Parts: sequence; structure tokens; C-alpha cells
Amino acid sequence: MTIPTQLVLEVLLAEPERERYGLEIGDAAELRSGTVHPILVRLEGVGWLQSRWEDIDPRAEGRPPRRYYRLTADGARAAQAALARAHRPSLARRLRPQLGET
Amino acid sequence: MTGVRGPIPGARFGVALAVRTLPRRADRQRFSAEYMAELYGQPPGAQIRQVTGFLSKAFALRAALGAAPSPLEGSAMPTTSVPHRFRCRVLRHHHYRVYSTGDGNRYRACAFCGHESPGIRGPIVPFGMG
Repeated sequence: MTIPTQLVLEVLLAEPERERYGLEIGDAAELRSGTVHPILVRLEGVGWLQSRWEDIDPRAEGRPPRRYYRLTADGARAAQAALARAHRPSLARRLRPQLGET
Repeated sequence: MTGVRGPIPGARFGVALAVRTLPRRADRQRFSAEYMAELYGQPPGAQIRQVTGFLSKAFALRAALGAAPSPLEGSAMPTTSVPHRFRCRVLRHHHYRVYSTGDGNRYRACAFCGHESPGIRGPIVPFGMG
């Protein structure tokens, strides 16, 4: 799993019930614009995310509806497991003596 | 629509360019609308930065969409590619066998890649030189 994907998942897992749109996710993950949408499409393709158009009156809001994304229940579990695996240090690192250890 | 700053013409053009690479019309419409909606309310400089990002990742988005075909498309379009083994594809060594067509004619074709032998009545070599 790439670092940007991990960052996107961390943002979404921070509040799994909350819906966010692409730019909002990108800002929270501190990713450059354009990076987020391919990641969201891939995650949606594997069923970790679901998306929907915002239900607003464009005339009243003064802007068109946004596309909102949120984790599915299965996606949240899978994302947590994937991040745990990604953050787990490799066997070589675990066996390597750390600074300050004898 | 009033009150919220809309995309500037340059940003609109950039969005149109960015989604042009997407293969399906439905994807182009979806991301055009999605990108445009995200540009609303942003200052012109931010819109240009945003659109530059969309353009730079247009092919990544195309690849991501290609990697995640819709279930309908996946079931409706079975793969038609024939796996060719190395010996057939590169060395041209075919494993010919005799097959019959529905109307009773016979022909020789490779059992692995389906390559048809030009000579139908010739001797059949099990691992012959194609």
C-alpha cells in the first residue's frame, strides 16, 4: 500500500461515519490536488468506500453538489487491518538492535 | 447560483482537458461535475493549482478507473485473450491435433494456442515444428 493511500485511509478512519469530499480529504491528508481521486476510485472499486452525490438545492447553496465519500463497514475493518500491517516494523527492523540498546 | 465564486474559465478548460483522457462517457461526466464542484468557492490561484493537480494525475485516474471495472461490465465482457505459451509464441513450436468442424470437415490446430496448420492432410507430428 502506498503512503498516499495510507494517509487517505487514516483521514477516513479518524471519523469513519463522516462523509467527506475529495478536496477535503486531500487537505486533511496533506496531499497535492489530483492525487486523492485515483486513490478514492481504487478504494471504491474494492468496496472499501462508497460515494454519493450531495443532496442539495444548487440554487439555494449557490454551488453544484459535491461527491461525498465514506468508508463502508467492511472497508473500515479492512483499512484498519491494512494500516496495522503497513505500520508493523519489518522482521529485520525488529531484530536489529536499536540505538541505546546493548 | 449566487454568493459562491465559480470556476474561472481557465479552470473550466483545465477540468475539461483532465477528464478528456477518461475512457467512458459516464466517468467523464462524473469527474467533470466532481472537479467543478470542488473548485467552487476557491480563489483563482487555488483553482489553478487544483486544476494543475487534476491534469497531472489524469492518467493515474484513468488507470484507476480501468483497474476497477464495474461489476456489470466484468460479467458482460468475458476475456477473449488466449494464453499463448512461450514455445508457441516465440519458438513457433505448435502441438497440432486434428479437430472436426460442425459440418464434418477436419482441420489441424495447435492444442495450446489454436494456431491452424496450413496442411490439413499432412502427417501429424505430436510436437512438430510449426
